[in-house]
Amino acid sequence: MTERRFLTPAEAASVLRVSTDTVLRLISAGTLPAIRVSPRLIRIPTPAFEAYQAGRTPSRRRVVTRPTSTEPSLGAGERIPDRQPV
Amino acid sequence: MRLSGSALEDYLADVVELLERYGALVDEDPQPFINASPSGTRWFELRAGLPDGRVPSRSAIGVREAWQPVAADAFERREYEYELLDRDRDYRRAFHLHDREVFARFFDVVVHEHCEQPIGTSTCDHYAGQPVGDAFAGVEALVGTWVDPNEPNCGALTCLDAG
Repeated sequence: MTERRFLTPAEAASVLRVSTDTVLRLISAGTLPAIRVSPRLIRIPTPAFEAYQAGRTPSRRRVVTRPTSTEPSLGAGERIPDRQPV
Repeated sequence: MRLSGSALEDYLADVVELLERYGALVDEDPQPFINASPSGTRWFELRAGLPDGRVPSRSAIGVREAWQPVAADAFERREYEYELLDRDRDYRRAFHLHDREVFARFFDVVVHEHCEQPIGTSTCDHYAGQPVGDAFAGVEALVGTWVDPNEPNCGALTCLDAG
């Protein structure tokens, strides 16, 4: 993938033909997903922006809990001191 | 962080929604689930393909958490793994909390990170890291890494295994 993966609020504003303040308001309201890289730096992931432009919003999934015989195995496959042969 | 069983289901639904709002495609379509193991632990794992222009996508974010029962219908997050595989730029970043007693004993830390570039190669098995508050923070950190035009600098991290 060679295209840019994010837009700045100013770039998004230009595409949407609104002001940067309007884009910042959309971000603040949670309407437009964005990543705050630093207190002054905000990036809007391109796929999220495209979804917003297309009016696509994810439908909320219902999560269920189901029994399993398996215990979780986080860290499996990692080289961890206790697991290494002496 | 303590949640009831139903609140944990809502939490996972929120995580899925956040990933999808960022344009990721969560594999568990249409219904994500939480596993309830014989020990009472609740755990889940998600893989979300990142929109890298390929079908299926090769780059992905993984989210795994294990929640221990601490009271009647109350669970606390005990372990997590938040991972990013960026195959276009060929790196892996991960934030982990597991085997906490081992890490405390050997490295005097509880959490650790991984950084591989290229994927599968690293000069350090575990890097020092900061605790990640929840899956939302983990996902946002990894999406932020994915959109960052600068690739991760593994060499700038502090290796726990060195020396």
